[in-house]
Amino acid sequence: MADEVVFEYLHMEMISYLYRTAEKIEQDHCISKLESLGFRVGQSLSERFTKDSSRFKDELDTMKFICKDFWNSVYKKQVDNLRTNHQGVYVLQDNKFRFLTQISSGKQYMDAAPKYLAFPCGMIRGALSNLGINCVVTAEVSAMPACKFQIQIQRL
Amino acid sequence: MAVCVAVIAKENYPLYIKTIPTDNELKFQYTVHTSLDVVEEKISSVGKNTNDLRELYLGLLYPTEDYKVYGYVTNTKVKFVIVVESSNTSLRDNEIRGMFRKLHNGYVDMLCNPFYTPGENITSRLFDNTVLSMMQQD
Amino acid sequence: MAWASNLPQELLCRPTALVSLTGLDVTYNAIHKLIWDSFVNNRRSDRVPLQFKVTAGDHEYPKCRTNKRQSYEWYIPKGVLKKTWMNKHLNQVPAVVVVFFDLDWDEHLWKEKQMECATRVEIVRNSLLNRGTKVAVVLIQKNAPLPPGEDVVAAERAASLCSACDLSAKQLYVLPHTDHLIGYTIRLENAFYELAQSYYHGEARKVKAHRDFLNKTTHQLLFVRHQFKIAFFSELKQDSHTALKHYKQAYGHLLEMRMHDTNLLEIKSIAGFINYKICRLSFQHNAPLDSIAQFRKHIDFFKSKVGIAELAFEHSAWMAKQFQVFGDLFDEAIKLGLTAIQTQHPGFYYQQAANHAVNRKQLCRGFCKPLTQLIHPDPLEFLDNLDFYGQRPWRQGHQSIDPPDMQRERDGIASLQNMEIQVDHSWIIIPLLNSAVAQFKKYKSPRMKRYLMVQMGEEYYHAKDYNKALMLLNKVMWDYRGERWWHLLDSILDISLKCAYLTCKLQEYVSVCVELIGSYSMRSTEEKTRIQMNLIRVISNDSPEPEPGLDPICVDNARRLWSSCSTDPSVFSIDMQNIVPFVECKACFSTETVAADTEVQLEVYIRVNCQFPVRFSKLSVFLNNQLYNQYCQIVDGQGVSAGSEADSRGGDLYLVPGQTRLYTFSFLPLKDDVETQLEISSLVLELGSEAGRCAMLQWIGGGGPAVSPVQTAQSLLPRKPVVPGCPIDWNAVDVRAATRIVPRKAKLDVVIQHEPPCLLNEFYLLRLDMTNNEDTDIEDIRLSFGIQGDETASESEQTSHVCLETPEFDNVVEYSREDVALVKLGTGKKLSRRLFVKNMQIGTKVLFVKLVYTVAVTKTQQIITCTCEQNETISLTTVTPFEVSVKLNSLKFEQIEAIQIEEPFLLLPELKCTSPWLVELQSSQLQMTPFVQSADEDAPSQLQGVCLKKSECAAECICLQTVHCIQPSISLGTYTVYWRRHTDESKDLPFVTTSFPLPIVNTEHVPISMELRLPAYGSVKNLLPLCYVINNRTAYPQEMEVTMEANDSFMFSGNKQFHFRILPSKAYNLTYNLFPLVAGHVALPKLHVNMLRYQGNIDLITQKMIPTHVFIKPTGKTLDSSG
Repeated sequence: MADEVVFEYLHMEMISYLYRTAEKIEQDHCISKLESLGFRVGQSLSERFTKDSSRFKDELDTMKFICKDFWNSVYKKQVDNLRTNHQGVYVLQDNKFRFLTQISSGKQYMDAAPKYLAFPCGMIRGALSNLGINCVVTAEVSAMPACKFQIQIQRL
Repeated sequence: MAVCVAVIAKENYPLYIKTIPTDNELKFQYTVHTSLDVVEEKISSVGKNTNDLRELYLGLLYPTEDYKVYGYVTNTKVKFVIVVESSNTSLRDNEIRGMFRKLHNGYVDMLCNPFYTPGENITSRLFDNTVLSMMQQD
Repeated sequence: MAWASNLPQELLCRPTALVSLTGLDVTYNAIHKLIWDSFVNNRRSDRVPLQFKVTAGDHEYPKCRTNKRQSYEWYIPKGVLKKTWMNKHLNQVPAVVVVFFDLDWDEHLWKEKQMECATRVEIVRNSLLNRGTKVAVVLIQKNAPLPPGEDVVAAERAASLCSACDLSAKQLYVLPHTDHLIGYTIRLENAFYELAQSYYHGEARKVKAHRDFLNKTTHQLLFVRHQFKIAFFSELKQDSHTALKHYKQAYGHLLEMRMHDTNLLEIKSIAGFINYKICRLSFQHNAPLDSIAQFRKHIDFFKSKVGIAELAFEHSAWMAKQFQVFGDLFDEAIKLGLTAIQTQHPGFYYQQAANHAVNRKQLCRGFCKPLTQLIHPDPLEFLDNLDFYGQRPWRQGHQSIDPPDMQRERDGIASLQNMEIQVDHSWIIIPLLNSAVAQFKKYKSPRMKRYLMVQMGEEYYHAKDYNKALMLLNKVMWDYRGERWWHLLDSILDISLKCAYLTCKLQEYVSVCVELIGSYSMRSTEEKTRIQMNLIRVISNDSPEPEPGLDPICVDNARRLWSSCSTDPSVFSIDMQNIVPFVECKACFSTETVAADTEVQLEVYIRVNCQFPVRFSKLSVFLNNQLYNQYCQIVDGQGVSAGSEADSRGGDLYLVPGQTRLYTFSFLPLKDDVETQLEISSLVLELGSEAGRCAMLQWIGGGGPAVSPVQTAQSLLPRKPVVPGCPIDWNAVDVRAATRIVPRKAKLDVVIQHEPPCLLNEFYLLRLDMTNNEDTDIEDIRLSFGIQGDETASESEQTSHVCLETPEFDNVVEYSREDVALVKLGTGKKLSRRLFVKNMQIGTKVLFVKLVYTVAVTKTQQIITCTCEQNETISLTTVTPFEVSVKLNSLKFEQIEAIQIEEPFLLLPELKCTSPWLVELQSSQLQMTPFVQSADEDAPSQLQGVCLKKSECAAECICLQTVHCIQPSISLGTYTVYWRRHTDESKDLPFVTTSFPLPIVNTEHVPISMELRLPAYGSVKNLLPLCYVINNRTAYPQEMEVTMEANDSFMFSGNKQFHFRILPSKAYNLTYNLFPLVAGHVALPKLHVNMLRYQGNIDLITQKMIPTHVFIKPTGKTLDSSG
């Protein structure tokens, strides 16, 4: 299924390109660059993916869209678990996150995980921002390839 | 058909406004702008009403003596407003819905334009043609 | 025009039945006056709806046509509704006429009075000839009536009076003017009300009866008229449902009429009336949707029925009136409890009314011309005096399609146009808009409200009230900026500019220009150039060119105003963050903090977006400390109109569109400002000269745009730092309006050496080494140190003590030392101090060390005195140096749970070192409670001089004994250790004490104690003497029985079984001689004790007190033996 991996290859190359071309001191910026790229992509994707869905009732409704439709369209699977404290924090757990499946599951490459999660985090943030929810998205890996995305809603 | 078509950004500023009799553009701008009152009210009342259809199409916003103003809001809170003449009775709800659908498709396609930055005024020729096709079938 | 569309008062009021009261002399007769007042005063809603009138007994009522029309065949109606008809039935023709008459039943001149009454009734009847008006007689009586049936005379006389006046019994009433007047009045008026209802019912039936005579061809008008009348009578009868039905029928008939230009005005007038009634009654019946539907139908039907083209303004006026009236009705209904919604409320109707009024004004402007000469006779002569509603005054009653006289028609139209021209339409439009604004505000439509306010502003502009217009427009402009509807803002600014020009309002004029030539303005470049030119003219004390499209008379007036004020100096400020100006300004401090000895760097970025370059006269930055303001100014000496950059010196303010200019200011901070925040309070850019006209363009704080630019994805990407030399990216500049002035960094090298962790209670040593790296000697170093956070803690929580150089503590906790002056420190020299901390609680504390000194620094030829401060903090963790465990043993070294009173036992404290550092023990001490005493003579501590490493243990053994006491448990006391850390540097440190509480132990009382005296060991086959000593601890003689149990290891001699007695507090010795048979650790024969008077098992207790085994050596082989 070549068509599905194209995105993965592109993503991998994007990361390696950014890190290769960045100077040592600038490498911290790479994460935020990736995040910004993700933001822009997420913004556009949400515009497209919500075209045929009905109007979202509330925040939770929007989150469910991210977990189901959005995830399905981007990663060909749904989020495995969604939890919330009903106070503006949502945790999306993906037990087999697509961008981490090709990395061996030990602790060995744990340090590399943030690079591969910056773009997806940005994508979530961009999608939600376009849907009217401003938030901070962070990712956490305790055991590859499972990954938790935490969404913290920023209320004004 | 439509005499004015407008796309309004999430933050309620106009991204695109097209009107047929161009000398009356200002009046249409006001018509579109004031219709946002009703759009906002409709958006904020979502969920309060249990038998809400939760459609993107908001229906007739308000009638004036001469025009009917219809609204549509995407999930990303971009608003579309279509103004038709009150005397035009051939346009029923379904036709209006179809026009909005077309407009939404056109808008989403326009967003894929690499030279377009979301939030800026829409200048795409393709989108323009989509809108013109809705205004010229008379 | 008002005459045709206004609704007459008779139509607007709520019809109530008219009752005429005659025979009341309200002027001279107090009783009559009282009666009258009780009828007309306090007519609240709980009383029947009647209108009373007092009339003379011989009052002439409007005459009724005497000859009843039998046929309408030859009758051609002249109009729909006579103007006088409604008024006639509301106020002139009564439904009931009441004849009041003073007459008591016991009147002695009864016959005469009865005659007089009958005459009065007759007079009234005559004046109401042919009318169905009801007549009633009320007898005013002095006496209270008797209960019915009892007064025979009354009944008799009443009957005779009725027949004399030709009244039915139901039309005769009695009104005794006693205390309960109002009660009688209310009963009376209810009776009148019934009579009135039956009268109006009858009138309606009469009108209905005409219907049979009508035909559809010639009597269309009458169909409408009759239905209207029936409806109106029904209303008078208070039967609103019937009324509504007939009004609807009347409306239906009206729409069926042939309409042409000559009768259209009449039809529209009547349609307006009937529509009003229908809508009003529908609202009243709580059917607002019916009302709205009727109104829509009404409007849809008539909106295209303009009528005479030259009088099209009439139609607009009529439309405006229809909407306004409906708006009023709707609003009235809401006040009575109806709920409206955002998309359906009176505001829309007022708005439409205003729109039609605007339309009327435009039509008037387009068609109407003033009369050139007077027309005689005046066609409008009868305008206020028409027979029928809605007819043309010059051809009243004329119902044919074509006007009878074309010339007369033209004159009439011209006269009406002439009249229209004199109407000030703006004062019709503005109140309508005002009503609409209030409604839209109420129904959560802020944008619509603003739009209407803009329209109001425009209308004020047309009405030449420019000040009001400016004020209104100013109120709403901000919202259009905030929402970025630039097109709309532009159109508003356009009017504002015209108003400002016409009224010669300098500040407003400049403000609007500043906005209109900016990048958000939608004007063409030519327009912008023109406006900028005008701006420059104004600022150079010139008059601006007028705006295009203005009324020449007004322009002349404005020119005069401008030229008369051109010489006056005028300085005014414009808040740039309230508008979207052509010039943008951002200021930032280069760093977030500035040290006291370095210059503050302040950058101001300015760019303009106008058409051609502009020269400002002065740039000033105002800071929160005004003393700096002198350093933050740039003055451009040349005038506004001075030429290009080429002929100017360095610090000029000649700004070229599109290029961002950077101005940098720098200054040294003042000593007093150290530790404070330096903030930009405002930025001011002056345009023009202060001597003439000067616009101070002001930004609050660090500037920046009031309307933030659109947030696009690009603007969210990380920014590149500004590279000097490259064009400045405006968006990359962030406003930083504040910086903090921090003390100069101390050039003092401070090293603190110590060996953590800190041990509980010890004097923890920290060595503070300072090196002076300044270029000069430092004289006034002051040292402060202490525990952070302890200054706020309560005394009991202050568990850390600090001291300098000498470790001492006299139970007063000192948590910090402030400002200890240290000796002068030469440049490059080093100074060392010892700090001690004694922590009396485990945990983590933060120790701060602060060194403060002043030094004079030379900076840019200035000597500034700086206070320098060096702060260090150290986190100290305190741990216990050792753990103590205490064991209690019997003399047999067996662990015991309870101690026996007066019996010796062993106390074994054990110290386990938990300190990572070597700990030196000086001594230990036992502080015993009075219950315990040493069983030995005093011996020095067994721990003296012991050093412990981590995890090593030290223990000692002390033999103790309790005194005689009866407590079930006793405390043993405390155990104190004298110790210190053992390092090279600790030789002169004092030992510190750490005390541990000893456990509380349970006690046992035993009646006897037993002791076994035996040698340390024995030898096989050598005599081993034993002596059991039994002590009686009680105050009584005790009977004892002992049994010696033999065993295989020994032979023994002594009493095998024995009975004896021990006296109180005396001992008894039992002696045995043992002869060991085997070697080794051998069990002794057991001595069982039985105490006859003791319930417990004394044997078990005694067994614990004595040894069970003894070591027996084998017999040594002697060398000299015979063998």
